[in-house]
Amino acid sequence: MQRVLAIAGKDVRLLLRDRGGLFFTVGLPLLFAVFFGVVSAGFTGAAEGIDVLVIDEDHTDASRAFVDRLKEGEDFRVYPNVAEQPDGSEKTLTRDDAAALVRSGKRSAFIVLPAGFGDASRRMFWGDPMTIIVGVDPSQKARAGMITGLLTARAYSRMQDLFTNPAIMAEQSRRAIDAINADKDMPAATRAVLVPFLTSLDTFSKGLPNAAHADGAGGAAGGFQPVKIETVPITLKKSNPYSLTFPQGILWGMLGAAAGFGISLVAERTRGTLMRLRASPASPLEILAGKGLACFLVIVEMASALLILARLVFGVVPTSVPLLALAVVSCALCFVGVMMLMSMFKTEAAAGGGGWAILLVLAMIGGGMIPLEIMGGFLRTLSTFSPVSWAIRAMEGGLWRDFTLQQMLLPCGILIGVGIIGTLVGAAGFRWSAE
Amino acid sequence: MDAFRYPARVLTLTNLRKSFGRHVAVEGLSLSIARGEVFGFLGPNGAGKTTSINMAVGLLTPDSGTVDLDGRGPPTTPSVRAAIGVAPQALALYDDLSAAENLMFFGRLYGLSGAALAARARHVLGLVGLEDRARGRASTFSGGMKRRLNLAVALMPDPPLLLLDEPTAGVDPQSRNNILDLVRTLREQGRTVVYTTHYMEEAQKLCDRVAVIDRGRLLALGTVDELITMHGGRSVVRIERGTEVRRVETADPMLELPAALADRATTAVHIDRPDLESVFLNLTGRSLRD
Ligand SMILES: Nc1ncnc2c1ncn2[C@@H]1O[C@H](COP(=O)(O)OP(=O)(O)O)[C@@H](O)[C@H]1O
Ligand SMILES: [Mg+2]
Repeated sequence: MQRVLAIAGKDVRLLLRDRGGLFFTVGLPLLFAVFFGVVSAGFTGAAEGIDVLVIDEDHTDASRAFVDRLKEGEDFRVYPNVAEQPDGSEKTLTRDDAAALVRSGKRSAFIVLPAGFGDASRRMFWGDPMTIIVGVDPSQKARAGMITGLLTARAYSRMQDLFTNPAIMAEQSRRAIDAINADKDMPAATRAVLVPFLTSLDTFSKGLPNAAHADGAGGAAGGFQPVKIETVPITLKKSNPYSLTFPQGILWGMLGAAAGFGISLVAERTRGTLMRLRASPASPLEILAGKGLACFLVIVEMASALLILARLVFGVVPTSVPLLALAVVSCALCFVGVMMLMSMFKTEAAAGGGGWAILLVLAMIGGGMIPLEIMGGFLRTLSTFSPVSWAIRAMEGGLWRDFTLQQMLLPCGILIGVGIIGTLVGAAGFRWSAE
Repeated sequence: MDAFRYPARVLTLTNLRKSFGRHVAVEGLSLSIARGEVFGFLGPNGAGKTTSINMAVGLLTPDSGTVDLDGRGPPTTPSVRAAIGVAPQALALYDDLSAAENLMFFGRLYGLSGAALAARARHVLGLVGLEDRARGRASTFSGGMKRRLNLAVALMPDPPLLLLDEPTAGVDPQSRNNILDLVRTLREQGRTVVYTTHYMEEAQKLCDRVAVIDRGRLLALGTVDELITMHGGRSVVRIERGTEVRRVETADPMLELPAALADRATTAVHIDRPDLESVFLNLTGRSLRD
């Protein structure tokens, strides 16, 4: 063990003296986290589709039709308000459950169609307008505005249907006349105007061709509010942009450490010091373990330092410190495996060129540059093949996604698995001499 | 007790063979090195010296044959290897570590620690004359200083057996003298030194016994005197008379002197005794320096 520690200590010292290596393992990550944090403060990239959880509390044909309408097009990715329980049964989510999901960033927003929605949507000229409740982070103004706009547009298109569907229109008029007749408080003059108007409207609509998506619908609707959108502010835990950029930055540091130590292991061979290590009483296992330990320690220290900085200076408060620690350790193990794979290159130049190129691709498809959140379907699927995406997921899980231990097991298990396989393959394929 | 073991075999190579692809680097090499001697491997570049050293320390696995260290088996066992200090021909140092840090790092691999480690590093730096440069990075050292540091690393564990592969390759005269003196000191301390070189002067000045090798084969082995007597050929007496030079080959040059000196026309007399260069020339038909 003394020998393993001696080798690890020597390698950490060498890294601290290598300005290039130090930049990639500590400087670049810090730069990345702070720079992109500043740039993206107050702005979260426009999503390709907004993840919304829809709670239908009305359970009418109209509310179901509205949900279907939301599913049309690319604007929303609609999730039903059921969740699978650990025991396999399904649980219906409440508004509180939905709020928790939005708060932790798993959904962008929730939409509630409250009881009475269907009824309200069938009337236009009396009673309260139909109400939709939206839960969204108020600081994400672009997203909140986009959701409000999209919902209003959907509601208007519902109006168009009302105008162009004679059956609904006829019923509308009839129910309106009934309501007017029943309203004792309405001034007689008003009633005298409205009843003939509604009656004639009924007659008029019967003569309309069905497909007429008349502009007049919008015009007619312009004078009144077809939908009332109530916003419930849900403060997102990660509304702090640094909670996104710090995991990404740390990830670059991990890549830098894996590449740096992988290249240094190749250099031991090409520069002759590996000969000397092998001629010493250190066993091959101890030599590789020393290198791996150095890589592990540097990653853990770099990640800890950056996370402490994020907490103290940038206000990124982790939801769970133990789970975040688990994530960092899992990531470190994973990238020790990556380092061992890098050491299989024959020359330093090959490891520095080819090795980095592979790591860059893994980083790009894994969300190291573009956040996983805003990746489209294909990229998102592709990202699962990059350990980088699991590393980011694990760190975010402990930082703000509010993962349970159970939810951490998958990303952490994958990371540790990659670490073990990488280490075994790299160690088996390691060239011990230049022979 | 040690007196009884002397001249025990510290290192025994038996019928070693090593080839790289179709090229045979070492063939049928057998020899034993006794405790306390400075043993030279003399041969031109490519003779197989480094390959032999690397097999002796377990860095290369022989195709056939065996290596035994002090009766304790082959050096593939870490504890057996711990008794050897190696200074490889290719400099093996960390450029970004200081001289002292290089020494302390390798010392730790041999189990040294704490005050003993620091003291040993200081002592060894003194041996190679680098005490002033303890804190200097290896990258800032001259070729000769790097060579000396490379040798110092081998001395760190204070090993009974030292394998020095071309320890004077490419160094300035000052560093060379320091290194040759150091080897003499090591012998006085009773350590066994295996010294490879392609400089016959070094082998002649330094080594108790010399193995002459060429093209992977052991051509001759013995003390310098034995080698010269057996393979050196005769001495040459050169008698100069003005611009005329007469050469006389003889087994005993002293016998030629009276006649030469009696001749009043003689302006100078030179005796060229055979040396290891002549030994190599006689054994291979080629010069060591080729
Ligand atoms: N790793 C290797 N791969 C291929 N050939 C080698 C290797 N090492 C040495 N050789 C060859 O083996 C022969 C002996 O080399 P070496 O032991 O280095 O000689 P020396 O140390 O006496 O100069 C040379 O011809 C050299 O080219
Ligand atoms: Mg050599």
